[in-house]
Amino acid sequence: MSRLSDVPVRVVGAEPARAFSRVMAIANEVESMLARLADIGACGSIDLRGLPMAPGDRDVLRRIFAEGEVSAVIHALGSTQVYETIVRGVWWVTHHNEDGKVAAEFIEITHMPEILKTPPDDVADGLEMLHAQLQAFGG
Amino acid sequence: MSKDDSLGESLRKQGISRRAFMKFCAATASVLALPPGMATVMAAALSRARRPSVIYLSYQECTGCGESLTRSFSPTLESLIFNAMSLDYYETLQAAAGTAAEAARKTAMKENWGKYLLVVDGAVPVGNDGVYCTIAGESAVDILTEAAKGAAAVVSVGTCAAFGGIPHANPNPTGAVAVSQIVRDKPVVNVSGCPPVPEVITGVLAHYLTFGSIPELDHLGRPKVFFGETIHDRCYRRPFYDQGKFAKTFDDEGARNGWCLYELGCKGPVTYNACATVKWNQGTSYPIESGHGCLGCSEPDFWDKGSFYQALSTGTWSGATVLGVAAVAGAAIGVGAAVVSRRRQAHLDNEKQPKEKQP
Ligand code: SF4
Ligand code: SF4
Repeated sequence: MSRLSDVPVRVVGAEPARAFSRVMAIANEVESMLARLADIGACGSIDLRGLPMAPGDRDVLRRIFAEGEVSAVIHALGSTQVYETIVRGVWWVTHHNEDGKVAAEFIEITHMPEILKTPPDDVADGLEMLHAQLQAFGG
Repeated sequence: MSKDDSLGESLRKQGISRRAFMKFCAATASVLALPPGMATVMAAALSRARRPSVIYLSYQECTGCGESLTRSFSPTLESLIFNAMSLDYYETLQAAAGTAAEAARKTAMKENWGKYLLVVDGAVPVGNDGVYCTIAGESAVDILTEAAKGAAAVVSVGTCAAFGGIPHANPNPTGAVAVSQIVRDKPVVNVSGCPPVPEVITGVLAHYLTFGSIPELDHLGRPKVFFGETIHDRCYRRPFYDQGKFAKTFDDEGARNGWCLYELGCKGPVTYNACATVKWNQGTSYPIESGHGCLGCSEPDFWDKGSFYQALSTGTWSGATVLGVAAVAGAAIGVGAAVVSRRRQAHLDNEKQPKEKQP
């Protein structure tokens, strides 16, 4: 018995009606944020960490917001998985720390999550890097 | 890394990319329960912030708080916060010893007078003129009084510093008191817990760095963002409490089914802490997930309030009688309707207060 999941505790989830209403509350919030994004271009975000979720709730949420056509992995102090869900404009962002544990998790309602964009200062650094590369390659 | 570097510059020198920094801010904003959009504001503020000087004093304590804190030194996002500070004096970690260590503290105090953050773990003994804890010939109470004068704010880490904790427990032979009983003219943040959740400690430091102020506090001086709700409010076993399903022993069918630990002495209903949301060991789990009830370690005098294995209904914690009724009613009718909400409990307690004196 070496892992937490090996401990023989059978965790019985909350009754389905209750679990369903918890997930639906989150989905409804996403819906109104998505409507705002469509209408006035306002981005929104839901922090999944603090929300009370019973075992099983997250799976239902993942099924509603299943992986769509875009996904990316960022390698910065541990990996960050980003995917656009089948609901376009709704992204699922999971930050892991270097031990692989989830450090933060968000549903983002946006055209493109901030973490995927190149920060403006990095563009300037990129230019310097390119000059150095060209020099190294004899350009 | 120069002391004059902004945090952004110093992290860049350590090879931390801007995206990594954004990620750190997103995780920290999440721990602080700030709206997710605040991560960008936080990143901008933190990258410009100067690294504040931190003086960390340890008195009557077991070093458990330091252990908890240094667990967040492992290569995690939280460890970044320590790179963001200039930890100028901390006996547990510093290389200097003896007069050199004391000189480092005095220099840091002089150079940063009025601006440094004073972190204290452990209770402070005031019995017999404070003779029970002395460092380099000075009593803890004298060092603390002097150091607090030049501090911008004081953070009491752990239940011992926050409320006296175990050194203050009966019969308290050294006259141990909380830091807030010595420091009365400076803001004191109580980060209680035995030990406190490491992310709660780093969260308070991150808040100070980002906003230049301490977070909003509850009536016991604890940051509301972490201590605003009870363990019970956020416990995943709560549906079983609501249904009146209680484990009666640690190895019965109820325990194996993951039912509520109320009758096995869980103090979750009267304990304010972030264990159920932030969790321990980098978000792995919290004690109730391991099948043990909450001890109430972030509450004042938790050590003197009877057995850890006695149900609240029979113990000496406030609100016990009301909760006892809730539990019994829950068991009898087995529905969520038996639950008396915490606010309702508090209300009932207040009504009872004049008649029922708490020990
Ligand atoms: S009494 Fe304890 S185990 Fe039961 S629901 Fe409350 S916090 Fe969880
Ligand atoms: S669950 Fe209770 S006793 Fe355990 S660490 Fe959290 S507050 Fe302390």
